[in-house]
Amino acid sequence: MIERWTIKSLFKARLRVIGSTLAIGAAFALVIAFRAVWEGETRQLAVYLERAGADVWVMQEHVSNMHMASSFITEGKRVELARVEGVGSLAGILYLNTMIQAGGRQWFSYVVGIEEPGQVGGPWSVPQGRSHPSRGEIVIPETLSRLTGAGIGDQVQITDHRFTVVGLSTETFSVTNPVAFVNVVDLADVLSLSGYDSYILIQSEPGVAPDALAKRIREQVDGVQALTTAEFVENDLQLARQMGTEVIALMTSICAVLAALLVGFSLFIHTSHSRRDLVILKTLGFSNGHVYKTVLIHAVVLTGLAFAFGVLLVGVLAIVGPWLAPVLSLSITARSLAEVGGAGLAVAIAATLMLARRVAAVDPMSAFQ
Amino acid sequence: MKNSSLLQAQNLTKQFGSGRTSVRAVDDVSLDIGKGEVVVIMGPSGSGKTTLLSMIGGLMRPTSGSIFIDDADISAMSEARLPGIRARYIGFIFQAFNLLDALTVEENILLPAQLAPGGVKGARGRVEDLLVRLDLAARRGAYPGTLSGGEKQRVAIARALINQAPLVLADEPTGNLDSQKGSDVTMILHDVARDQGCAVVVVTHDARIEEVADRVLWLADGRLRDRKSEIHSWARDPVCGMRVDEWTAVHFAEHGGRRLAFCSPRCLQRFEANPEAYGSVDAPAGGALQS
Ligand SMILES: Nc1ncnc2c1ncn2[C@@H]1O[C@H](COP(=O)(O)OP(=O)(O)OP(=O)(O)O)[C@@H](O)[C@H]1O
Ligand SMILES: [Mg+2]
Repeated sequence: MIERWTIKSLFKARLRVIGSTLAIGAAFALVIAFRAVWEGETRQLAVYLERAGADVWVMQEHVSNMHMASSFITEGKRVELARVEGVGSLAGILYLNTMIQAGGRQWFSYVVGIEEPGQVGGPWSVPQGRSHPSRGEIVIPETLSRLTGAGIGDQVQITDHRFTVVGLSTETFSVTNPVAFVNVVDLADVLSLSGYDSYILIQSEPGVAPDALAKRIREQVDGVQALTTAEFVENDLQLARQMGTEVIALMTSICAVLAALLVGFSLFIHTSHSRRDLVILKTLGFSNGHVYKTVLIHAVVLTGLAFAFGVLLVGVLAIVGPWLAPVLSLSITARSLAEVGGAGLAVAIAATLMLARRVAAVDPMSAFQ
Repeated sequence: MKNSSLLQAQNLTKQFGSGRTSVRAVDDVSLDIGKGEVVVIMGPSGSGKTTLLSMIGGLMRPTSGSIFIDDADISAMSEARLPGIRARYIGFIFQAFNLLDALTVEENILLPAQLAPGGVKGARGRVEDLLVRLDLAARRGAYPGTLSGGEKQRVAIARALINQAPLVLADEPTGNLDSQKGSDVTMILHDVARDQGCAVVVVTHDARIEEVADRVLWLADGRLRDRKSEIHSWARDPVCGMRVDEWTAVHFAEHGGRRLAFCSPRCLQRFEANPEAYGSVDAPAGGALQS
């Protein structure tokens, strides 16, 4: 029955509940959206690795990433790799993490040098223009083209080399790491080197497991690292997550504290308004423990409503987001929701504790006044 | 039944504050309340009635002295055990009704049952009985905001009775009611003691309750006095015609050079709204009707 009072008294103050839900929900939405953007961007980082078409990636020894890494192996390794049992086909790419200047803006990008049309490691979806850049040509992400205004036929610049945009690719854009494709000879010029690959992308023969093949390559070819696509992707995601962990934790904490203060404030207002009722409950023989429980239920209900509202808000954002901010990739994961939800529960408990003394101090004697 | 003792208070004293500003609200009071007894506590305003009542109800600790309920000394109990005592032994009735506005009549009555051994389920039968007995059956789903004062107080009485507490404590239960409703509540309290066998202690200025009491205690300056040595000065409430003791009454008005006593704020309000309508009350000034 006291539980019924708890819920009924909360919803009797409908406006207050709505106000609290909106305010606390906004705090939750903020942190969920922030994490969704970050997770989306991080996922986007690995899309090139996943879609390039390789089963096994071979790179310079001691290198195990593409993100924030550089790798060079001599072209001679191609011959050695081709001899390893289970290797079906292979193709090399050059790779540079650098600025592209386009339409007066600079954009930090992955630049991939490819050799042949349709090779593994080249763009896989090019709805406009050509997908293979010849000398002096470049394929850039469609979104980058939209953002910089550099369309097909326009010039962009990498260091002091000029390129003409000949194709616009999709699925290759993220705010932090768009992928552009140039001819491998041009990229070798930019890097002032020749006779090297950055990564060699291997497709295994049918029926050969990538992890077995990677292992065999590591054993049989000196001076290289070989990773399956899954391992390679995982390494890059891990690296990116590591780099963002502090920022995310800080952001989550700030929002959690904000939410705790808002929940605490709502509870404070609500318990102040219910003070007379708490007095009555105590005269009837309900203990402080009972009363704490009602406050905790209030806190959990408010936080739960606010969380649901926050998720709803971000859900709407995820639907309208592509129109509002096409550059951002949103990814709302169950894990991120569970973490924010867990933080929410902690917030509810913290807010209840904040009020514990106040509630304990409610004096049943005031029932006589 | 009335002979077996339910509550014994020994040498109860309550002092508020310390030093020069200290107040002895209750001063060395001893009393014994038997099962099924109706005890009325009267006395002037500020004489310590509420303080005494809240100490025997386990809401306030005495500065010294002891209170035994069923042979357990509640004045020596830990703070954590007192709510349990209140839930099991005591039903409170307040002047201000003190219902929970978010709950219906039925839910208000059932609320304390949660703390009783049988729980809310076990109290379903009793609540039906109380709703009928207190003439609330038609209003069971109503919220307190829509009830009249008399209905509210009947709900509060039902709530005080739901756990079959052996001791019902009421502080000015008729103080916010008009004369007729006050009489109803008085009769209900009387019947409760008779039918349910619980002891009822009522703090009041209302002389009608005195009439149904087994015992009247007189509190003055925190001490129990012999009631007989006190002087009555009976007057009539010019609005409802009820007998009021001018010594203990708290609602007065000056009219036509006379001091009139009222049984309740409602009667006073009515009078003040239209004094001429009650002008023909021919009680001599100074309050006669000496009894
Ligand atoms: N919490 C408190 N702190 C200090 N003094 C108090 C407190 N409660 C009561 N008193 C004082 O104790 C005395 C007795 O108060 P109490 O409320 O018991 O009187 P009462 O007989 O119930 O009066 P009334 O008929 O007006 O309700 C008064 O002088 C009052 O001012
Ligand atoms: Mg009082």
